[in-house]
Amino acid sequence: MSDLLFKQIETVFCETFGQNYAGKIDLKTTMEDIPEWDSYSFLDFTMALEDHFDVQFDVDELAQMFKLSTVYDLVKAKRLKE
Amino acid sequence: METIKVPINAIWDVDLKKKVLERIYYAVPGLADVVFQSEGLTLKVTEAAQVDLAGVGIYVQDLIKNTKKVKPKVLEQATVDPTFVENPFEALKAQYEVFETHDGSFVLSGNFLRRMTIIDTLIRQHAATIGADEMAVPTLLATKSLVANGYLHDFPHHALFAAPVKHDLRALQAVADIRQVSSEDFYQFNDYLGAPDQILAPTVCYHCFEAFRDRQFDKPEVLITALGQCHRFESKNLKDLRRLKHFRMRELVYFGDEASVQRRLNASVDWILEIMRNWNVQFRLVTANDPFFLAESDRKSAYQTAFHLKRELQLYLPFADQWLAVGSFNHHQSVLAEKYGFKLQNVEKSQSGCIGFGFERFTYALYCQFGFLPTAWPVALK
Repeated sequence: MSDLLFKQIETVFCETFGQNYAGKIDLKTTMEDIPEWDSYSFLDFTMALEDHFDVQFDVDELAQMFKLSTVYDLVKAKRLKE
Repeated sequence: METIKVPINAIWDVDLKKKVLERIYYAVPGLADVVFQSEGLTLKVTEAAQVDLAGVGIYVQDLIKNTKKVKPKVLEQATVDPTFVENPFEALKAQYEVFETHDGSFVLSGNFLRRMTIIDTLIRQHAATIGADEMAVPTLLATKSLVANGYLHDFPHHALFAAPVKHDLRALQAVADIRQVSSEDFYQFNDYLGAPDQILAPTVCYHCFEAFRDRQFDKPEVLITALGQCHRFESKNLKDLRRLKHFRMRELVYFGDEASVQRRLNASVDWILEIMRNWNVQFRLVTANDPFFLAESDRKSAYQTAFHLKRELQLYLPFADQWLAVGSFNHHQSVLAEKYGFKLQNVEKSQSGCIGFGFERFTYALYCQFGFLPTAWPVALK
């Protein structure tokens, strides 16, 4: 995927879960697919996204962030808003 | 008493203060008091030199970071005008219905016990209605079981180990020769104790999971209920019947696929909320998270909260203007099924969930709302 926003999400993702995922994830990727994306690292990923994009997610939004397509949509919407 | 300051930049709201207070007594030796200030924490301790000041600072900072995402959300709430606004605790003791035999340990009798038993009977009937099998469980769990399932990793502060006297004539003689002990003398037992290979059970469902270790079921769903004593070390957090060290809990444990576990949990929530409404109890159902101790485990709180994996039934205590959790509804997803290795027929990914009610708290919270006049109580509990 060549989208610039997705590239940035991929960077955060790989910094959190490992560089071995570079180029191997897409919008269809979910928590089920990534062993390292678990209940422990869930917060690390969402907080890293917040830091990187300078946005804030509330708890209801966190509840949707178990697949990259939703992560992408939420970040995109927030960046437009903020 | 000495005073030490832990510099921390934080806004101490009620939830954060509660979270820190519930944990910091375990982390700081000889801690007598904590003061929250804008520039950090002031700790009053017996010996400042024994405190790992830097470690405590990092620990609290980590708790703050994780707490950001775990604000509880009220899912349902019922409000009623209180008819009783006192703390019934002293009166229950004066009437010989509640006896505190040791810090956080209670012997119960009279109407308090009778009402507690009725509540258990109702939950047991609900379990029977949905087809749950009953299990009788022991008091102790193997230490290795609580290492393997992650309990000691997540809740090391609550563990109460049990150990026998060493297999050694000198140790047995030494213990037999002890005629009296003060609290300072308890450490002498350390010299005579054997391996703490058992722990007082912190929950009921762990016994059920242990019973099902590596089992292959020939059905897609299994439902269990059990009543047991639960034991959690609470340090200085003990408070009348609101926080006990030993308490009685009935759990319903559900094994199935994701949809069936979620459906069972929701049905049990609906069932108990309907009873609360019928009894005219002031309650709320909230999202919750477990009291993980170390920051690494505490990171799971956000996940639990976001996905509503833990919900709590809380009853209002009018005298204290507080909410007290009396029941919890937990979806373990596949975590415990994988750790215990059980599989269900035709279920690709077995999951589990449980609900549990702490009876001393439940009954106490009802006393807080209804008091001592039988006419104020719901018919079922008069």
